[in-house]
Amino acid sequence: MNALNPAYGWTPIVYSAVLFAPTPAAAEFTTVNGIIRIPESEEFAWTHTTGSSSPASTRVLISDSVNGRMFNTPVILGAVAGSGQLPHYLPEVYVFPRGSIIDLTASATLNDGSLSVSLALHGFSRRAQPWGRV
Amino acid sequence: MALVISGKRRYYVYSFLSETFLTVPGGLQSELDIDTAAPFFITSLTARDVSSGLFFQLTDLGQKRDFFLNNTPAETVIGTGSRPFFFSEPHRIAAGSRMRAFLSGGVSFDICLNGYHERA
Repeated sequence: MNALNPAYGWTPIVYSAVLFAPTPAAAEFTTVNGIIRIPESEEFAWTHTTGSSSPASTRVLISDSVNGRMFNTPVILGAVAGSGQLPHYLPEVYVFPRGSIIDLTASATLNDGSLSVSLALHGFSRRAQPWGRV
Repeated sequence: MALVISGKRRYYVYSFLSETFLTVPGGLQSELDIDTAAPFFITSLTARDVSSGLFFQLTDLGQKRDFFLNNTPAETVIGTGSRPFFFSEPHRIAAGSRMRAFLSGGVSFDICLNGYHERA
């Protein structure tokens, strides 16, 4: 068993990112990218997500440099992320191997405002374990 | 929620996008394909918001199985990111199956099938 508690070396952590694109001169489809880098010395077990976006129709795509994307297509942020009061819990813990790069892409059609996404991936991290231990 | 790493399961989300819904008799319909590598287990349904007064149906075309009785109001079986609608048990969808979503109306909706792929 590999339970996410201090007995197994896991400690709580939050990785967050803010993506922003300024208001375009004319209405247009806008995309902005960002990354979250997991340290080489640690693995990250992602358990729940919070975030917000403007406009509300913003879609996001999250992918992992090791295992690929985790959505079949960019999805509305409000359907896969919750708020601080009501986080969105993943149905299964997702473990990013040490040194992973999490690619984030946000897109929306902007009319008269900027694109802004705040995203926080909550979970647990731990130092890489010696071979043979969990 | 059990905070235990299973090792066999991998979080994944399939989404029907507003733009992929086509007009059919009685409403709008969209389809998507489940990955052929592993079965998918749907644990919950979410959307940003769903207008009240719409009916929703989700069908596993591989098993020819409807998830709900006819005329199920969408807001009773689709939640949001903060408050997902959870099935009492995950629904197993065979690898490579085709899924269909039907809504009796509406103009803007993205419906997410949240769950996990499970390797043998």
